[in-house]
Amino acid sequence: MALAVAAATVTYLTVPLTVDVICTEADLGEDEVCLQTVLEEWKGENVVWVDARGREQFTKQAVPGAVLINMDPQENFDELVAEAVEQLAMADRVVVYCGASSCKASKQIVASLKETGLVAEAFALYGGVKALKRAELF
Amino acid sequence: MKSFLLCFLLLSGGLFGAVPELTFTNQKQTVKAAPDVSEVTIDFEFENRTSETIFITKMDAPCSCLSAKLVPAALLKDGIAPGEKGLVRGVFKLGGFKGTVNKAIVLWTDRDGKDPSIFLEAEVEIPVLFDVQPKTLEWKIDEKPTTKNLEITVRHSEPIEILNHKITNENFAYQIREVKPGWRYTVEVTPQSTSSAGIGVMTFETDCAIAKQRRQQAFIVVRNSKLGVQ
Repeated sequence: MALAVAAATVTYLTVPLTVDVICTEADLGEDEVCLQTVLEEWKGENVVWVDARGREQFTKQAVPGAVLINMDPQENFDELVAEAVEQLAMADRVVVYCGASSCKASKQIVASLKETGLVAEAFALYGGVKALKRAELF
Repeated sequence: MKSFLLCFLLLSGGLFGAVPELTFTNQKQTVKAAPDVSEVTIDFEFENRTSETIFITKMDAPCSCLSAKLVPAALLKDGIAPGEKGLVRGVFKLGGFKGTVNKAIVLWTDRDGKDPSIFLEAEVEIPVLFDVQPKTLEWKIDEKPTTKNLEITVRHSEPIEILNHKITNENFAYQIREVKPGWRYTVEVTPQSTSSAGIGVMTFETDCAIAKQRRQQAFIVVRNSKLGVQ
């Protein structure tokens, strides 16, 4: 649990507060969230980032403190969730991002995480990595 | 999700005036995956009922788990002549997916602008043979440490036995009761203490003949609230 809190703290310390992403409530689909909501409205909460991309991309670069959970055939979803169980179970919210702005993997991960009953609130990041790059989170 | 897709389809048609140029037999397919397969093929049959050749200029399946192609492949290069029939074949790699999964394939024709005019939806049902419910058992901090149950149901043509089981947190004691051996089990879980937050992962190794279904898990949690706020 201490690790989870530390990871979340690291995340917030490294997140710039300016966000250059066009995202409004009207843009959002079901279970989607704008980056500025995460960075501004949820500031101070224990938000856990989930990277839904492939392991190679995750290893190369990811949001600090993010955990890898994807549906790749080479991976085992259950094992990935089990590895991140402490962060997920104690998170106020979980935000999932994937590689492309149109990527649906993050929404699928959101749905699958909710099905586990482990996370209270999970959202897919609108704009995915593109939004994160603009915010210099990458 | 279904209503969202329906709204999207209706809205996109209304906004862009897009009339389907290819006539599909069924733009939404529901497929039941066999428990032992790693991928599922979904075919969307179409016919060009217009008087002009139509070219598919772009296909997109916004998930790395789903690939799409035209069958026969020559249709991509030569176009789809009036009266000609073909398939959009989606291959869905099941990976870690379970339950009902909805995936989309979108196609642009040479008459489309920025937005695609053809939306195909695949609903794939992936069975879970050894079904543990709920996936998470939860107590709040300082809640009375009563016993709560996991119910396991075997949804297979053959019985599945539990070979090994364990939990990663000794704060949780548990006992497995065979309700109907091979078919139904109840796991009674009791926290020794709920005075502080704690998490355990309970795993069940079974004799299921299908390797990817052999191991299932559930989470056992003590936390302050559903949000985990301390």
